[in-house]
Amino acid sequence: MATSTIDPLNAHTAHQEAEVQARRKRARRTAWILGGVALAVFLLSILQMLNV
Amino acid sequence: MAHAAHDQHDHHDHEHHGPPKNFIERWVFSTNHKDIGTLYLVFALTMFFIGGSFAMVIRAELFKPGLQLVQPYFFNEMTTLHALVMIFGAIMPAFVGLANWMIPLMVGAPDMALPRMNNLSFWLMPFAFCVLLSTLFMPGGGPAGGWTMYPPLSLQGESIAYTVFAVHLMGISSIMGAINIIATILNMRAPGMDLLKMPVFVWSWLITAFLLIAVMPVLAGAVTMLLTDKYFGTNFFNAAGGGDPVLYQHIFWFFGHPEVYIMILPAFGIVSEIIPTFARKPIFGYKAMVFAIASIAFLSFIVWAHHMFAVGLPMGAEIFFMYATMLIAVPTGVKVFNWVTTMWGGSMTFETPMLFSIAFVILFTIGGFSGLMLALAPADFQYHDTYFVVAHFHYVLVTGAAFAIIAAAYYWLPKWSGNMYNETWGKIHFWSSVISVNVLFFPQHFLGLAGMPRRIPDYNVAFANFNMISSIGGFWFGASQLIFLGVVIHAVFFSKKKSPDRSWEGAKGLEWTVPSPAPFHTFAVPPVINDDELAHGHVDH
Repeated sequence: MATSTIDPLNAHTAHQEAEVQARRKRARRTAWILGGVALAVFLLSILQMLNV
Repeated sequence: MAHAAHDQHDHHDHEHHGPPKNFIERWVFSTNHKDIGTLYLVFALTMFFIGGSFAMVIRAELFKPGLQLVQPYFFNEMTTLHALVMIFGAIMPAFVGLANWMIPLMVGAPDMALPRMNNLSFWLMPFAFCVLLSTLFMPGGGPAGGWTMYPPLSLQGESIAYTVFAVHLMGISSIMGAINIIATILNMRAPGMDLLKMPVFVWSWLITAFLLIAVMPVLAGAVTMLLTDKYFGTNFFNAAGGGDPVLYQHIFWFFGHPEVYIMILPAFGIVSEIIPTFARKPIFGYKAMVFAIASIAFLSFIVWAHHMFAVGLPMGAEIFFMYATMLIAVPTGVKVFNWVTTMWGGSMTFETPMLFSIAFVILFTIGGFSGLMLALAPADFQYHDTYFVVAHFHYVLVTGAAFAIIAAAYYWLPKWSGNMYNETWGKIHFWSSVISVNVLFFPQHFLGLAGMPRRIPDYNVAFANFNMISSIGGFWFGASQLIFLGVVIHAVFFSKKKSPDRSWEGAKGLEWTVPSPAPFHTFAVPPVINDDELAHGHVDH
């Protein structure tokens, strides 16, 4: 069960290093997009009420 | 880039080590998903008992007609804070704690995607609840206008500023937690862990996290407008200034109804893990279960006004929201059918997690049926704001969400602690809870149908008998949870019975391939996925 394919914490080869960096970048991008959506929903929920 | 590489070396240095020896370093500065999960669960259990103590005050006051123990304003503070504490302090953090502990283990990830944000998400919660509960000791008292905070009632008194600040902190915490969960599930799965091979619990949390991101900012917007109405001269909800108090109800329930599903979808996921384990069969209709959760999540956005039938909606709106609400029974029925069908013909055993899960299926269904009754707009005019509603949502949230959390605690406790809990006491806890919870909440249906309004400290003598029965059930149920506390403390600190890696004979999934207790670091090397080991490894695509 524990046979290795990729080791994100002990990346030694350039390929593995690149894989880890790509994964981190994707996680950060996901977080920024979702955070942006949350902020937009918050602002819209107030801004649209200003028309009332 | 150099900084990132440096981080990796740090990880490398610590990888084979256990947790930090220093207490503060381990628990306050933790970025480990298991420790943060434990923090969430301990926090949730603490808030469960604090919120429960508020419920004891409520049931003691309602034991007999007439004012018994507390002033009416304090009674209203208790109803308000009981709800806020249980919803935001107990149920939601408990599910986030379970997610923290189990999602990385289930998908083969070394940790959550954003560990430092994970730490911040947790540590906002104690501060939020210190702010909220501190209002009880302030001149003028705490919030007493109900957890829904309807204006203009909630704007009376100064505690609203503290309540709004606390809600903002809870909201930020929930949103960051949700972002972390989505980022983990979408980016950190081990190679070979396809989306449709993930456990149902992971699926349920992925969908719940999207719900959280969609609706928590709406609550934040609503309470911000309350704040500006109170202190900055705006008139969003002030009729005298051209605003509309009913508008608040629309915004609040646009958040509030999905919030109900935020509190039940992870429970669906938990039960979908436990029943197959103790029935020793794969879950019936895996893909149907996932699509049912997604359908329920979608429908939760278009039913909010069923909480507002009595405010005077246009007839077309009442009919739309009535039918849309009834539609939710379809995917929910699919889930109940699939749980029952999973058990059908299974080689079942009835350990404590399974008992709580079966009770969940039966009693949650009762809560679902009373929900269908409430969905009927003409009938709702009779039920609205009565104890029938109180009975309904307690069946959904106590015998639904809370029972699922308790089932999950018994199910995964051997993996967390490395020790088996005491099965005899677990079963005593179960039977005591399941009987008392029905003594507590079932009579409230009759009280509601007879017309007893909710959120009152005194009532007509005609309601005396059922209230006394309900209060006895309440004290009994509250005392039963002390057994749970005892079982957990015993299992973690004193139990001599060690758990094998696979704590339950029929359990499948990556979390059972790691040792018990789960080591501080797991899956630093991504596992090779063996489809036979997964509960859903052979789903047709």
